[in-house]
Amino acid sequence: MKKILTKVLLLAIFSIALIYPLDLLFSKVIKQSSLAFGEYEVWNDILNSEINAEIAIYGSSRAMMHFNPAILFDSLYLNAYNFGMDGHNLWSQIFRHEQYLIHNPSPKVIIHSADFFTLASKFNGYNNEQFLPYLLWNKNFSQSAYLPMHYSWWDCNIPLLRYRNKGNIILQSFIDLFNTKALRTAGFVGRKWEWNKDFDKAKANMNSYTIKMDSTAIDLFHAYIEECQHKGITVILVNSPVYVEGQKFIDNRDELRAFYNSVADQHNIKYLDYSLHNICNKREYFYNATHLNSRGANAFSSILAKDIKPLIAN
Amino acid sequence: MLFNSLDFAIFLPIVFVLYWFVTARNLKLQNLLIVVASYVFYGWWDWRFLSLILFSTLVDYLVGLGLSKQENLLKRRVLLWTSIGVNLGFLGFFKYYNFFLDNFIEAFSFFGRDISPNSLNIILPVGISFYTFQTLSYSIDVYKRKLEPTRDFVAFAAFVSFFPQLVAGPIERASNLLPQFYARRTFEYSKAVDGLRQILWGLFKKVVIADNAAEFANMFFNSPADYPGSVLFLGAVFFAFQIYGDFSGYSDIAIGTARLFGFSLMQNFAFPYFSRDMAEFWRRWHISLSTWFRDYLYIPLGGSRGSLALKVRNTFIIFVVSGFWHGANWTFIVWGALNALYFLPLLLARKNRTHLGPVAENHILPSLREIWQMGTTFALTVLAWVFFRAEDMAHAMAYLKGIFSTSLFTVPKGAHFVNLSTHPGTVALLIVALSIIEWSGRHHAHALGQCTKWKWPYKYGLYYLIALFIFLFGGQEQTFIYFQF
Repeated sequence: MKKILTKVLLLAIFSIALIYPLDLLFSKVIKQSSLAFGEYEVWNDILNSEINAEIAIYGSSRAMMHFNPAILFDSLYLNAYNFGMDGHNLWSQIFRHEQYLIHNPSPKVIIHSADFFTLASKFNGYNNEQFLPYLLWNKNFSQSAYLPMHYSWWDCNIPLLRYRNKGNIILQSFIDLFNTKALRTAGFVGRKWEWNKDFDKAKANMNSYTIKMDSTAIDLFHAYIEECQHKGITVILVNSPVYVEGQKFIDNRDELRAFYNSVADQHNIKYLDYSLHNICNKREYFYNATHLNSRGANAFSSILAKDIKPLIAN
Repeated sequence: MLFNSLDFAIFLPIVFVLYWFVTARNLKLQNLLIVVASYVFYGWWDWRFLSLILFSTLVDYLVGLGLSKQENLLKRRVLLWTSIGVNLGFLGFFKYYNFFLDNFIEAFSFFGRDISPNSLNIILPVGISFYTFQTLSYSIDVYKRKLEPTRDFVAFAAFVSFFPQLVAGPIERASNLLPQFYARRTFEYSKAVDGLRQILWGLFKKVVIADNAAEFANMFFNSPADYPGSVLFLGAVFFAFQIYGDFSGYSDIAIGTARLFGFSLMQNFAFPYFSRDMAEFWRRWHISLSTWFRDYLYIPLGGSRGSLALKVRNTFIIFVVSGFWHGANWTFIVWGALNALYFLPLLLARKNRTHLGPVAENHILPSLREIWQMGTTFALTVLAWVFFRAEDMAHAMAYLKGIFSTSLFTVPKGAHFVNLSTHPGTVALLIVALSIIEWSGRHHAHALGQCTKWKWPYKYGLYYLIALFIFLFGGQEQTFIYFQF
């Protein structure tokens, strides 16, 4: 009996000794991967203070795929970085904004992709895996009020615990080590995809809907704009193109446009609305009803660069 | 209480410490501890059904005592049938009442007589089919004078309710397990270590293989019309590994746990997917149930002796009853009958005992012929599993129709797997890892039995790797499939 208890104890001690280096290894490998829509690449740039941008682009996947920093640079001669994040979760976007300013010099301008869905979501845990490798090692992540309590105190403080049942991510990250090509370029993801026809198949059975804005998201949005203004950062709200057929399903799109106009007026900032632009009629610029492909993103970025040039001249 | 739960992870060490450090010197007290622990284990799920176990225990204990005093054949028969009646009565009521009622209603309506349904909302007590059969084996063996009846009620109650195998087997024979409660258990290091190994392997099979494969099988079985034949076939293969990982994993944990307490339970699975024909498969799959039916049903019916018609009848009876034991649904009956059809040609050609030893006994790899034999046997079991998994006959037929369509030969697309939390390649890799370890350990009672003679860095390396896989690749928690039986 003594022998087995000693062995079990030794195995337990050895296991405890292993969890810290294993956590370090897994976190490192995941951070190097292009999983979670390439969010780790952006987080690494932020936390390693590698961003020196005059223009920062914020928003959801539409920000990530519609605004090409290279095109903006070609027209404006200003460095830009795209912080777009999959999922319209304003809290996560604000958290990223906060971390960006902590670790990097402030931008002059923030282009915030404020589309029909931006203020629709409640506080949620979508795409929370992007925070996984940082939780134990960076207290800003584990203690932020902007991140939903998807992970428990134990997850954030006991090494390895948060990786339980996450073997799939770890395995894919190890495989991804052989992939040397980054998913994002200055945060931007250009999809060289053609129209995928899913929308055409689905639209016959789709009903139109009303987007309800969340009051806490609205309050957060106002506070964030005020904070940026306080820091001397110019905020420009941009409603980027959405395919015209897709827009028709949003019943209250005029109301949403009016709301963003009122926000812009209230804070004396610009709201550029491209949802009625001719680009929205060109199916060849989209790969689905709500996202531009790389051809569309480049075309739109050129138009945008021209339009914001006078706004940021000083 | 589930083996793969935190509750059990706390429960087991507490019982272990009490068993070996507090009650070890007093056999009666140790047995009493097993009864109490087993009742807590079972009551964790629903304490109300403890009364069923207790009643069943009391009846069979008294029947045993009665049989020991009774020489009159008629009275002995009455006692035996009292035990059979009570046990099968409970089983019939809780498991089959609604099935028979619904079928009566359907039969009457077929002949134009509508009768108003009066089905009851009956909860099936977990493990009722297992402990009922276990306790029945006691009454039958005592009746046949193969076993001395016990006067020790605590030992008998511990035998009926022994928590490692209470809810999903192995279904133990009284002649094997009951005497182990009479003798003082001594702690054996090698036995306990092997028990821990078997628990580890059982957890891997349940948590890593079964629970991950379940996600795939569930998705494809839930909407077969949405997928091509090739994907549906893959779904059935995933289910084959789900049910194997789930049930054999449970058995491994049960046997391993029993070994920690100094008990030896019978082997329940012997690498069934390496079988070369269906007869071998049934000698290797759910051995405790197959042998129960063989000893208490097939042989009393005449077994494989007698005329051709008798052989066919007996084979069908044992397989159909075995199917019906699993659940009150026509799908289980068809599953049983299909297996009888698979088995019958071998029996009639006297080839049902061709493969008695492990495959490729003195070789590392199987021959091409053995690969072909294992492949065809596995394919046959996969098709039969469709009936086992389906909700009803219409569902099973729709699924099979989907498999045997022209789309069977199409290549599955990534889009068929998008809503799954685990990459199909990952699950396939895990299944390959399982198959390799099981193959190399096929000469042992369980796959990790092969580690005994390994050098310690390899041995502990493998243990840690398996433990890490259980931690990292645990699928979404699913209850054990066989709990519903």
